Order: sequence, then C-alpha cells, then structure tokens
Amino acid sequence: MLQYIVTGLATGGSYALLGLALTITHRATRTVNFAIAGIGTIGTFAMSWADSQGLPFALALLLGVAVGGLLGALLGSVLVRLFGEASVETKSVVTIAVFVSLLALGGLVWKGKAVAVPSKLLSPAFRVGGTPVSQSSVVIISLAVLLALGISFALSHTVMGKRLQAVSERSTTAELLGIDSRRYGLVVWAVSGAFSVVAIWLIASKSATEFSGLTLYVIPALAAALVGLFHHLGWTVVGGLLIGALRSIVAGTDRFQRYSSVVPFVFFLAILLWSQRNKRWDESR
Amino acid sequence: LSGTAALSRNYFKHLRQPAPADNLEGTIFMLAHTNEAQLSTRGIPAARSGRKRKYALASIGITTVAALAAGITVGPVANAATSKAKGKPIKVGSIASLTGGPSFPEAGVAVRAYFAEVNAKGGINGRPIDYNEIDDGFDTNKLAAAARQIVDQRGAVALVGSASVLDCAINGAYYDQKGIVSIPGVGILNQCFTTKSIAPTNTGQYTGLGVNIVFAATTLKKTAPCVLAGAGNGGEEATASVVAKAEAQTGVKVKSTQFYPVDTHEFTAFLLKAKDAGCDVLMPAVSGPDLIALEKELTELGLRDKMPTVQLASGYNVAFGGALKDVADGLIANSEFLPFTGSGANDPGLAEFNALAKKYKFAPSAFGEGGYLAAKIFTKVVSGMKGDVTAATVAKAFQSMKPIADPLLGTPYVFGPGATHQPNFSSRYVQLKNGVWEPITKEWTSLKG
Repeated sequence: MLQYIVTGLATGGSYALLGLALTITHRATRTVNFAIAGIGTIGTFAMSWADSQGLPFALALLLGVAVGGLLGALLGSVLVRLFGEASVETKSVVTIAVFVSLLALGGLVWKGKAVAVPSKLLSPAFRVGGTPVSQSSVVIISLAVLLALGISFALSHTVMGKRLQAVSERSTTAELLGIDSRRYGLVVWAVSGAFSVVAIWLIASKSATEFSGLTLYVIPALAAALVGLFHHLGWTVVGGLLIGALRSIVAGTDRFQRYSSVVPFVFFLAILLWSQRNKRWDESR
Repeated sequence: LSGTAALSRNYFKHLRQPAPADNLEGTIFMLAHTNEAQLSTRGIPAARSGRKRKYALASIGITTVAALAAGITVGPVANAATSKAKGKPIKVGSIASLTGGPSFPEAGVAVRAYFAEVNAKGGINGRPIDYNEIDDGFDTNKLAAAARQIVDQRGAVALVGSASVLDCAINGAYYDQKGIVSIPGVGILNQCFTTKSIAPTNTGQYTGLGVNIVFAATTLKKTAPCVLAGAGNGGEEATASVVAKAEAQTGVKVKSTQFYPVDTHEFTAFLLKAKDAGCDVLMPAVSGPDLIALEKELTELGLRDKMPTVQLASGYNVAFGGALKDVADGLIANSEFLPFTGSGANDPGLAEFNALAKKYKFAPSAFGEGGYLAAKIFTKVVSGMKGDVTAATVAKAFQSMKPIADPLLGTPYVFGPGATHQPNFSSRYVQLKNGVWEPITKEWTSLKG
C-alpha cells in the first residue's frame, strides 16, 4: 500500500501544480482556463525543438516559457478586451473553445506523434520503504507547496496582490480607483501561460510526450482545483495529491485497477454535490 | 478538411451530451489520447441566457473557423504516376486515419509509390492501377461513407494498404457483404484479424503480444513473463487466447496478466504490481506515445534492470527512439517486418523497399513496409489472374492464392478461404541503442497454433 501512495503522491503533485495555475488564473481573472495545459504543451514543444537544435537547455527552457507567456497574454488580451465584464461562464466557454481548437490544431501539426522532450531528474532523490522517489517528483511537489504558500501570502499581504484581487472582483470599480485593470489582467495571463510551460515540462519529463495527452492533463488538474473550489490554493494542492494517491491505490487493486482513471470524476461529482449541500431546490437549478 | 470540421462538431456534440460508453469508444480513446467523455463529464458550464449563448455560439464559430483554416493545409495528394500502361485502369482504394486523431499516413505513401512504379513499368498486364486513399478523419460516419464511396461509387476491386484505426470494426461486415477483399498495411483492432474479407500484412497487437512472450521465454530465457494489456473491446479474451498459445508453445507460464483502463496515461501502479508479482520481464500492449510514459515510469522506479520490457511493434518507431534516448536505452521492441533501422538499413532484403523509398522520397517506416507489402502482394496476385478483374474475381484469386514469400516477412503471406486470417505471426527484434533501434535477432520468432 505504502509504495502506491508514495508513487501516487508524485503523480498527484503534477495535478496540483497545474491545478494551482488554474486556481490562480481563476482568482485573478475570474476565468477557468481550460486551455492552460494546451498552452503549456505548445511552450514545452517549442522548448524541446530549441533543445534539439543544440541550444543550451536553460536558454531553450527560457524560450519555451516565453512562448507560453506570449500565448497566455494573447488569450488574455482577447478575454480582457472582449469579455472584460462577462461572467465566469462566458469567459470559460471561450477558453473551452480555444482548448478544443488547440486539440484540433495540435492534432494537425504533430499528428499524434511523440515529441522528444528533454527528460531530467528521473534518478531517485531518496527512497520510502524501498520505493524510489525521483528528483523530479520532489521538485514538482515542493514547487506546488511553495507556490501555494508564496502566492497566498502575496495576494493578501502585498499591494500588487490586493490590487489584483480588486481587479478580479470588480474590474470597473478598480479602474475607477485608478488601477489599470487591463494591464494587471494581462500580466496574470502571461505569467500563468509561462508557468504552465514549466508545469507541463515537469509532467512531460515523466510521462507521455504527445500533444493531446499532455493537453488533457487539464482534467485531473480541474479536479484538483475544484477541491479548492477554484479559490483555496492549499486545498488545490491537497486535492491534487489526494487524487494522485487514490488513483494509484485503485490501480494497485486486483478488482478495480481497470477503472482507476475514473477517480478524478468521482472527485468532480462528490465536490459538486457537496458544494450544493445547503442549496434549496429552486436555487440550485 | 471536412474531417476536421467533423472533429470539432463531434467535440461539441460531446460537450452537450455524455459520450456513449461502449468498448469501441474505449479503444478510440486509448489510441487518440483524447478522452471526449472526460471533456463532457464535468465542469463545463452550460450557457443559459441569450447573451451568453451568443458568446458561446461565437466561440464555437471561431473554433470551427480555426479548425477549418488549419485543415486547409491538409489536402489530397495528387496521383503522381506518369503511366506507360494504357489499358483500362484497375481501381483500388484504401482508407487511412490521417486527421482527427493518431495519424497513419506512411502505409498509403508506400502503396502510392509502389503502384506508381508498377504503372511506370507497364501496369498489371498493361492496365494501370488507379489508386486513391480516403482519410477517415477519425469519424465513424465518414468511415462508413468512405467504404461505400470506394466500393460502390468508384467500383474498386480491392482495398490495398489501408491504415485506419477503426475501419475493420466499422466496415468489416460491409466488405463481407460486398465480397470485396481488404489487405491492410496496418491492422490495428482485433476485427482486422477476425473478419472473412480482411487479412493485414502486419502481425497486430494481440499476436504480437504472443510472439513477444515466445521471444522472452525462448531467446531472453525469462521464466516469469508478465502481460499488461488494455481492458475492453474484447482485449481480455484476445489476450487470454494468445497467452494460452504462447504458454503451450514454450512451456513457460505467464506470471501475471493485468488490464489497464484504456484512457489512462499513467502506469506506475501497474508496474509496481508487476514487480510485486515477481515478474522478470513485462510485455505491455500499450499504444504509441503511452509506451513512452510507461518506459519513463519504469526508469523512475528503478525497475529497468530487474524487470525490463519487450514492447510491441507500436514502439518500433524512429521518433520514439529519439524520445526515449535518455531514459530507456536497451529497450527491446518487436518488428513485424524486416527491421529497417541501424545496421538493418543495409539488409539486402530491404534493397527494393529502400530504393522505392529513395526514389519517391519517403522515410522508411514499419507502417511503410506494411503498405509496400500490401501493394506488392496485390500486384502479384492480380498479375496472375486470367479474365475479368472485378471485386469478386480478385476476392476469389486471394482466397485461392499460393503463399507469397518476401524477405520483409517471417511467414509467407497467404489470404486463404478461412473466416479469420493471421497471415503474419512472426517478428524480428530491435533494441534501442543510443537512440537508434538496432536489430538484435537474425531469425524470426513465431507464435504457432
């Protein structure tokens, strides 16, 4: 059992990392960005291309991150300009449209083929009960935890963080108070796009490196973000780790292993039901 | 182009309603890595008010336009042959998955090149071959329409070198009914090997798995081989059947057989379970890119020495070799045909295939070998026919053909009159050495029975 939990937590760390990017984007821009993993994947593939051309790894990674940031800003500028005051649902539908477009485009460009993504840090950092925990898993989980703590602190204790919250909750009011809401929005989109490249690269270095597979990592990440109700960063991390561990435990059983991929959906369902627990019939419809 | 539109249409169809959860869908998911059911399931808010709906519709419009615009780059490839053959053309078709999911263009390219070469040399008994390939767009409706277009409208006499993920499952019964034969270059689903009118040139995943067990037991001298196969679409039965055959042939018992959900991309728990079962070699039946995930996880768990894997032919792919260079050196994979990489590139058996690839400027690949063989075998069988060349007479010629040997094949190809066909049940083996697949066997390994 222990080995399944340990390895499951490592996978769950990846869900948490991407889930964090979703939660941060949602908190700052009131949008559930379904396209986030797609943007991260394109950036990661740009990085891999640069790496294969002989560019030093750090420079290649920087290039990939820049591509992700640019794409994030591009999507953000569409949303900020055209859908500034629109509801969460509307803005999220736009990102779904982009997500589906990216899946189609990615299919045409990479044709379902694997891309050689530089894999680093696969050697074990330490062992838990004989099961090796790779350096990459350690980096992923620590990054998730540090980011959750750091961003939570920044949002509530810095001027920039408070302005961001203001922009996200009442963008017109914030603007009247002299905050350039468009610029803040764009910065968040660019940063989340850039961050998604790092997240997807870390995921890709230990998983399949094919466009749609990586783009669909958004699904367990959504489940993780939902555990934090798209607001609480700490719970998002906990959610990601929990889903990863549970999935691994289920896959380790004889009877249920072939249904292990259902785990994120069980979470979706449970949390949605739980979040509606106090709603009266009319309201919740 | 329309395939792309159908794809985006399908996505939105799935966003509105839950996807049907039959087994075939499961296989599609595994191969496509796109789990539309997952998209549809949760978290996608429905647009309610008129204004919202307008935005949603606008977004859908944008998506479709984007997808269509992207589709423009994928056009039909012109029939390039300048033909010396002047007789009435022999019409041949094929269906391939080119857009909308995993893409298999290699077989069709090789078939086109081979037929162009035949035509340039005077065709089949003076008649040129008129070949056209239809993209199934990974769409079941389009697949059914494509088969009818080839058989009814074009009046093709056979399907040669098809490489479609779902063709055998969707159109098998139709080919049976029409009495037309199909010789796919890439047979993927089990139905490609259990339909009266279909006999692919390749081994396929199930027989391939059986051959791998034989190889592990006899050549690698392993005593505790284990299997990891996909659940659903008859995978359990087909796996059990080849496992039983391999056990009977080698006397080595398979230690454990696991089934993974076909939409998973993570295998760590399955690898741990195999290790706990005491496996000394693992035979995964995983689709293309997923095997990269599996190999990375094997490395991460430090199990590569204790429990190496023997991958199916889906692993024998130049790009995968590159992608796995740093993580899975020493990995062994099955080659359904004569290996074409590393020192295998100079194998005299490949001279004709390599010359064709060079002349028609395509990169040699396993799927290309499959297509090439399908075209070559078709040409040989039809060249030997007397009288009318129709779907019925071609089918008869295939059913009564003599086995055709080829250096690319471990077992001579024969279609035969049976209700099921497995003409290819042999493999060579290749090993990843510094990113290049190097042939490691000089003999063919076969699954008997």
